[in-house]
Amino acid sequence: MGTALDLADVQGNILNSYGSGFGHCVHLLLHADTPQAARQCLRQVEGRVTRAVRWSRTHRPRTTLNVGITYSGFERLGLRRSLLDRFPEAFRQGPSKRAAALGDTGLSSPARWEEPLGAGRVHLLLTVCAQTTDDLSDARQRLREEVGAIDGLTVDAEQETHELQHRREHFGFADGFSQPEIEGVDRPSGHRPAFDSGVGVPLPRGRWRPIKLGEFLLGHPDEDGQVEHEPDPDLVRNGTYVVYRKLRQDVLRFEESLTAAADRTGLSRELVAAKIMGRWRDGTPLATEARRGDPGDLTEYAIEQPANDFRYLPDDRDGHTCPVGAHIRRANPRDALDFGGTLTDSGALTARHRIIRRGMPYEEPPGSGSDDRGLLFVCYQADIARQYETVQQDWCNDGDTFGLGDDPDYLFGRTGSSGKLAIPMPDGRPRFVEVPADLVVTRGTEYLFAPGMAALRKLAQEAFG
Amino acid sequence: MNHTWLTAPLTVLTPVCPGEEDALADSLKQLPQGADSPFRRVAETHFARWVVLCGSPWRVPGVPRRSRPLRMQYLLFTSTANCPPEQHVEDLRTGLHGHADAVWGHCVGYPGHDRAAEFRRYLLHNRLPIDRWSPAYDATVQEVHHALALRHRHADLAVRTQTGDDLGLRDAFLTEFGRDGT
Amino acid sequence: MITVLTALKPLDALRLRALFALTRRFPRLGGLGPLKSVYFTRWSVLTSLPYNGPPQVREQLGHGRLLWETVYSAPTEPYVEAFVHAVGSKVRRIWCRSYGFPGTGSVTALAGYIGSLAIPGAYSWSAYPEATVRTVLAALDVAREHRYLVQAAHTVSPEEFSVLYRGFLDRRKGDL
Repeated sequence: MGTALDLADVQGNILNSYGSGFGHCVHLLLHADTPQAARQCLRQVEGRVTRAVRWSRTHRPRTTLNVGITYSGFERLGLRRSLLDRFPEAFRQGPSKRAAALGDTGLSSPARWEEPLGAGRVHLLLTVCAQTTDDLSDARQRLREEVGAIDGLTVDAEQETHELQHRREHFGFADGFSQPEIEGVDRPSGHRPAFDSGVGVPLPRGRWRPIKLGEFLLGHPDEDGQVEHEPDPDLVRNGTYVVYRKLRQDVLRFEESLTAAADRTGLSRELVAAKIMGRWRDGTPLATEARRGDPGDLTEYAIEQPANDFRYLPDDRDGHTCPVGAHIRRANPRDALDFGGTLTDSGALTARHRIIRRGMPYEEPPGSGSDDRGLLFVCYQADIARQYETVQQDWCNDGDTFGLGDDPDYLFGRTGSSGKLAIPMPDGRPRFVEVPADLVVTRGTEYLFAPGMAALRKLAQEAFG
Repeated sequence: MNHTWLTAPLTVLTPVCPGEEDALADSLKQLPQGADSPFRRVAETHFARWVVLCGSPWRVPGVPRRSRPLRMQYLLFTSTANCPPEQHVEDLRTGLHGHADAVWGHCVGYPGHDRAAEFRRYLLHNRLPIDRWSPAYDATVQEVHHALALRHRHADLAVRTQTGDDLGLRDAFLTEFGRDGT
Repeated sequence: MITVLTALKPLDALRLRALFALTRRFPRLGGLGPLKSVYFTRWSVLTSLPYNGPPQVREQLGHGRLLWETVYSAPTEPYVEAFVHAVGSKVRRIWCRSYGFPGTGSVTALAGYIGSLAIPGAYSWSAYPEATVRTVLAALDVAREHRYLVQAAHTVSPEEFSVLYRGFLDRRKGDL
């Protein structure tokens, strides 16, 4: 059986985000030459890792710290072979070996990834989030000095990310909504109560329930009633798997593709953008606001908490409001997987494939307005293959689950493949928008494990060897 | 759709000659795959598969210990085709040709592909009963291929003509499909 | 493709044959109707094996075996999920007669059961490996309507054809 939730044992930012006040981050990707170097790093930082306990109004830290460990990091830490071999296959193999299935081909293939991503060199990931760039700079400097003082430990790469104004990402969409409602986890005040939130599991008769904690934290019951303990209960309890994925966005081509699609379909650019995403660019879901007379400039604000209490069935089965192939409908189908109406509890088929997203835009160099920009996508889940990879590989890169053949998500087209987005229209004549290639290119991925605090302490002390 | 024969299963289980298990495994590994597969020459065949059974493949916790393992190795062949079993067996003989010998030649009693009547008798004798069969469709392989190609052409046409006028639409349709049979 | 051979409990070979005979008569009882990821599925109840003379030895199958083979086009875990949620009762009726069957209450348990029993294929072939079941079904639906459209294009006015074509697109947009 699972154990009661002890927030003091869980790293921060997983169950609830640090919030938009912490809009500046840096990720340090570390390589350890020896087990001693890796352990010393953990010993150095483990007392400062931010926990999931709620902060008081008067006591918010200036910076936060999170730790992640790759599979090769666990090898370097000297975990015994019998444990290493029992990590899930996706984590053991790593994203490079699974790249083809994840659509990381052509320009996105691992051969083109930025070093050291995906090469097995990254052992530890230290992530600092800060309220100001000055605080970020100070915390980063301190960490660099601490790492530099440990013999055999190096910073192989650093990645800065910064929130854009109005919660945007670089294609201009307000982002970060619709994070899962988790059983037993209090929501920040200002969020709608669980039964009304629309971010849990849809139930019949319009109700919702939160998702089982074990979908995101190991050692707790998941949606299937299982409690995951492998490879060791003490190692994985209150930990979670992390997908760290650098995605470069071709903003110019995206805007050009919107113009071309608008010309071809006779629809406005903003409507085309909304049909692609499933939300207007200010974050309002199409499901709650299908039409806007004159959308105006949607870049100057973002809806604070968009209405998330919507579902796709029965009224929007065919995608007349939100296209079946729209991004948010693929990434979270809600109640839409019901086998043509034969399944009353259709939410069950989505509930085991949810992820918590904590990504943030990047720009290189930061603040330069350069073309080298995109999203550092970060997500948390208890099972990388069942959750993140199902969403990416089966739902976004392919359309078969939704009856769309091999049409990919508009944002994930690849050179050498083709596809389209069908936009049903009130006049009965659907519009079709061809999916461009390589609007989003993968620059590198790492799979990591974010341990609970007790496990982190034990790892620092050479346990599990 | 197909008006002659529904999609039908064939399941054949043949015992492997003792001592030839490794040779059988090698033969199966060497069989050409994909576009070079000899099954491309077997008419009306949607899917085909060979599986080797040995030991106790059913053993899971809960199976009684008295349940004995198989004493020999067996070769299980399954296929799906739009023709009667007798015709399908003959198509296997003529389509697989020497490849049939390369695989089934390691099985007890196999007569060889060049002895038509004995080949047919052998496969039908070793046919397993099918107690329940669930096909998603009854179309032939040719109908499926034709439909898949047609779907692509329709998708392309729909994208190209989405904002044209009525005359342009009909003209474009006839240009693409006007010569198709109905 | 998955091939599974399970050991049946006492008397269940007979019961299963009776169940299958009933579902042949009343297909809705046993079909995998809502699952759009299965091309073909077969079940065989085996109480003896064909005999070809020496050097083959006669096998004792005891209470019988259930052979199940399915050809499907979905990742395995979502496929098993669909089994559990969409056709769980039908699956249970068949498999509850096999030793070790964990029921359909847990996707993990059922996936583990199938995984532990699945016999690796030595050779597999598909006439259309690039097409999933849904794609084949969608294509066949398009093909069915196609003939009428071609006829109409030759015979009706452009305006009438436009109406017919739009209807086709609206019905079949998800199939394209």
